[in-house]
Amino acid sequence: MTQPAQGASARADFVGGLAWIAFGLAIVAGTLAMDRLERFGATFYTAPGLVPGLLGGMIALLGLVLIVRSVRRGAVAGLSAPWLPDAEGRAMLARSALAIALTLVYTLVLVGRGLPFWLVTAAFVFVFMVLFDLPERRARGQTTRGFAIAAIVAIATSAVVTLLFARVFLVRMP
Amino acid sequence: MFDGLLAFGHSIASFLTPESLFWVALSTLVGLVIGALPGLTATMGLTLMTTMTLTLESNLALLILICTYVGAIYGGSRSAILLNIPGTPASAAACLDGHQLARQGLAGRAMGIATSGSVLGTLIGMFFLAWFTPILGEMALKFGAYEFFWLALFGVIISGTLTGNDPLKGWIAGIAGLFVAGIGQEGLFAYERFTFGYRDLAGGIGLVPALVGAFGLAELLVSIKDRQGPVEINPFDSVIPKLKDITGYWKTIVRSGCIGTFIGIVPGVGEDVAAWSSYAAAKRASKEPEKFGKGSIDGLMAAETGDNACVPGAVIPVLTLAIPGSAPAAVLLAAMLIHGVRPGPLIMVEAPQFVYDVVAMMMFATLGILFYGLTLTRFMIRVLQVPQTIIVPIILVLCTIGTFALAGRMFDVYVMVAFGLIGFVLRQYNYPMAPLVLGIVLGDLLEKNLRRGLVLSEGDLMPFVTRPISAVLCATIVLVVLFRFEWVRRLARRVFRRGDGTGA
Repeated sequence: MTQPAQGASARADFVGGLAWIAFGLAIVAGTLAMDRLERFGATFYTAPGLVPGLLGGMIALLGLVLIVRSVRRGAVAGLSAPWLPDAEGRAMLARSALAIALTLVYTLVLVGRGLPFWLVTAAFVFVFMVLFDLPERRARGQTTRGFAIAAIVAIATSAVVTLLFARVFLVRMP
Repeated sequence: MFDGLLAFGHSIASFLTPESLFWVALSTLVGLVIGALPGLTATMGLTLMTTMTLTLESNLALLILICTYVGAIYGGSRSAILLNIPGTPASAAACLDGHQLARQGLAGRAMGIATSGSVLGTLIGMFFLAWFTPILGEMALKFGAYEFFWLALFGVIISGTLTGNDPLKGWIAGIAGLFVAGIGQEGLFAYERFTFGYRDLAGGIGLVPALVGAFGLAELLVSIKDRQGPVEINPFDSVIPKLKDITGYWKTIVRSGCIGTFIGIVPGVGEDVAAWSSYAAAKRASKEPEKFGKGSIDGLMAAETGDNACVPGAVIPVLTLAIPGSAPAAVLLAAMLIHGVRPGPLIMVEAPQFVYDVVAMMMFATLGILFYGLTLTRFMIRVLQVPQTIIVPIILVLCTIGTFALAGRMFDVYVMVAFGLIGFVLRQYNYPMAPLVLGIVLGDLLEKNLRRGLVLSEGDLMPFVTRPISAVLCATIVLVVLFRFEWVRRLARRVFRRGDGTGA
């Protein structure tokens, strides 16, 4: 391969390659264990596992190519380099982790579990805005203003979205 | 020809209702805003709008989606020029000269060029859409199982090769997408694959929930991770396009329009490649290539004409082959299927009027971007100044409820979240999303036609490589893959050099 992988390190590609090989081989194993349906007249070419099996094999093969390429680019030497990101990287990681956690709580725990949609939506938007906005607002001495804006946006979003989907699109709300 | 014009006129007349015009105005504006906001792309806009237009009549829903699509691709130029941040990946090429012009105090002129380029680019693409769709439709009637198999694979491989900056990862993403499409009951025996006894999975992974996740949620997570600070915009001149900027660069406009449309027709290769290709061609043809990247009007015009011409281009294979020309077109294809439209080789036989309806939709979208391009300058600046911390949770709520609205079940929301997280992780490691989406869209087509072909040939692989169209597609795929390897290129160079030597 000639074009360099920009952004992702050779070490990450090495680990990624291992993951793709594991994924591909798991697919192949799954397809080999599948019923061939010969009693229904299925041949080798119409067996349900044929195409996923081929795709799994290709994924594993490309994972191997990725590993070979990453080794050539110094992945093995890179294994001893520090694994923790720098301060900026850690801040990015923290923001991503917080956003993912809030999303998971909203979609998996709050929505569709009997609580009113408008309520959980307003709460989600409010908490999201406060958590991501407050440190900067506090630094500028605008904490109260930050809370007020978050509350207004949260109530407005919840009201507009609920009315739009429930009344205009006639969707049964979760 | 005359029949076509008549049908086109009929399509225009059918959309000249207050309701349609209202939706044109609103959806083009929504597209423009989504496109202009960094982190929100045309694909995301289309997936969100698909979930919100389910209950509308099919032509109206598709009109809204096409206006959103055209608006978003155009809207990306606003942030490219004013902030040096491409609002959509399609506008990355426009950043180079657009922002340089803005730094010279000519942001208004740059926006005028972007507006005229986008409008004319869409019109050129629209012309090809009307002219080429019936021709390609007729050609597609000759396609059998073998050709469709290769075409599906071709789309994924080409998309993987050209859309990211690492083809190997593009191919992995594409093939993973093809696998995902096969989860659930397969088409021949309704045998459940990889469902692990989970009943909801038997119906397969929903296309739209997966798209909303991979493009909507994943993009939101990326944008909150790479959080941008408040933006500052300098004062600028008039946004009304100058006639000399159009007449003086007509060759660039026509060339970029044709390149953009052609790139759009190639399965899986989207607006960003169209913009860069048009930009590169304009630079090669220019008498002042040294000005490119330093505020060249030629460069900006090429990029903006190319990416917008790609939109109608990408719709051509959607209509004739049911194979998307770009990632947003993949969403459009999914929406057409949801609304009961059956794109494919028979479209010119079964629903020729629909093709002209789509051309008319493009025309209304073009009028929409022209209107907003000339008028909505201050509003767009306000939009660009809205903090991400407000936009992200609102769009996240829309992703959730929009996905739920598809079938009224939480399972689709879980699929959306899963694909959002997978998409986020893959993006962090430089895996492009377009081939993944193409794979999910084309997986069924690929499998159905591979198995059908093998049944027809009783297991013989020869028809896959000996039928003329199949042979060309197969050879192209093999060459595209092999030529990514340096040792293959070295070998080819040596062979050709030796050939030259003996021949001399």
